[in-house]
Amino acid sequence: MKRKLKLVFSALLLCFCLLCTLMSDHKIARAEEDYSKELNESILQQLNELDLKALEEYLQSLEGGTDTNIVQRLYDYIQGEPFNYESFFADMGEVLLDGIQKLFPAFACIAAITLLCGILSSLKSQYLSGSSGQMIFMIAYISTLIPILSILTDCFLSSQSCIFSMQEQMQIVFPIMLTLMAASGGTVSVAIYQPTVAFLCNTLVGLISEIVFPITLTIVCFSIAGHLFGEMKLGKFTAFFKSINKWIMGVGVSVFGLFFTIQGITSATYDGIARRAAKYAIGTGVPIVGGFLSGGFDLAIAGSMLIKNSLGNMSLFLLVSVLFEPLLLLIAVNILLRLTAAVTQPFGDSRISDFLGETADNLNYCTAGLLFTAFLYFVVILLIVCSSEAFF
Amino acid sequence: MSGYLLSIIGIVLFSALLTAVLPQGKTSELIKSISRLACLVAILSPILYFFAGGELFGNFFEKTVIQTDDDYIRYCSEIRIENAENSLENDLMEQFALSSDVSIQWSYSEEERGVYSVEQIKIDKIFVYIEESVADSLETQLEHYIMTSYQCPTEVCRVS
Repeated sequence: MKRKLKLVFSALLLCFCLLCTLMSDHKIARAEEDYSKELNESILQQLNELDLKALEEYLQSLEGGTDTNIVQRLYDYIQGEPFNYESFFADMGEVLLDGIQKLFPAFACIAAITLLCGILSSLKSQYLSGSSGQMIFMIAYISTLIPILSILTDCFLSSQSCIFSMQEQMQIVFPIMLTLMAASGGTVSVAIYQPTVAFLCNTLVGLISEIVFPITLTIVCFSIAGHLFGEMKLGKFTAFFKSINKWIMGVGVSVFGLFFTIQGITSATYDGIARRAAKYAIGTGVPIVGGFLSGGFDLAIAGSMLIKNSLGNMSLFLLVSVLFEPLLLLIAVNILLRLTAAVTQPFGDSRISDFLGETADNLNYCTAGLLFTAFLYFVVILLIVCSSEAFF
Repeated sequence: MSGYLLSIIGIVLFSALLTAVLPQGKTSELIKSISRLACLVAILSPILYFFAGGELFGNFFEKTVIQTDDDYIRYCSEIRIENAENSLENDLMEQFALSSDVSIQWSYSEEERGVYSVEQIKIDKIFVYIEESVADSLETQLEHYIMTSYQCPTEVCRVS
């Protein structure tokens, strides 16, 4: 009898414990759901309050005038829209192959002219005089220059337009991100980033578009003149201009990239410490007095941070979308120039194949200029997005 | 910069053409030398200009100012103050079982953080609105509690 009572009592106690656990789990789940709902509402309110007009207009210009709901897009990024890596790389491969396919006829023509010139040059000693041989070379060279100059013009214009598009993006995205950073308590970070971002948008981008690209154009012209007229000795001047380009980009990436990174990390840490100190300090009034929200969850700050991070995410997609085509064009042209130089070297005129190889090397400065700008833009976005972690 | 580089390109291409077109002879050698000298002067012209007292970069380092959206920052500050008011109302309810309305008077103040001067929210005064029927001793306790906990000037107002 006693045993039976004990069993019944144990069973009742177990049921009671199970019920309590289930109820508390249910309460926690409901509380989490309530917080999540409140946070989402706060985010939507803040998104509607934020001035995103310039960004919306820019997106519309990129997407060819289609209707863009920027608020919905940012909200979707916050909710965690999945990214399809496979389709992204498949698209990249498709665009690259498409570019190569479009350029192939021009390079086939260049290869054919170079090989013909090579064949005629080998006949020169037997049937043609020296000056006729020189004339043949000049005609062949100028004939190859026509498609090359058209391709190079496309490359330069495309690179220049990409740089200006990235500059426009920076001028739209960074004020919004810094506003969100200031709203989430990163006041010192904003004070540090404002001149940094202005320097990047104006001076560093200007260095590429107004110095590096024109110097690259000059190097290409010197290469054309130098290969056409062997008497024109411009090799050392070309080397001088090349070294200017290398120094500008090398110093720019290493010094400023490093400088931005250290500044960004230290400012975010400073803001984080100031915020924690303010939570427990009394009478500072910064940002909120004493322990008002020391135990609580600041929805406004959390919302601003999430919007900032989602905007950073979107900016990276925008960066890749404007960099995509020009970069792949430059890669395609580089590959085809080297392939044509390799194919024509054994049988064609060596001056033309050397010129093709040198042009491929010179075009790398355009690629480097694009990647330099994109890299520094990426680093600053990353620093601004990652600064949120230090605030807590 | 673009003008300078375009002038170099023009002179170099012109002298290259001249080199190719001129017939062989003593005059052609002289003309070729002059054209090469012209190329050299064109390339070195910025250095000569700099030593003559000219400015090399001009307004290249002119900065664009990156402005933040002050209206949005103010809006977020207002939300935070609203949350702080609700938080204090809940706190007073927990401590004193008292239903009250809290209103926070705030402003932006400049604060020095190292070499930077930043704007922060500063709470100037807290107003607590309680019912007329609340005891005076409780009012005193309220004021003392807020002053001690938050070191902030407080005014307790009674409303009917």
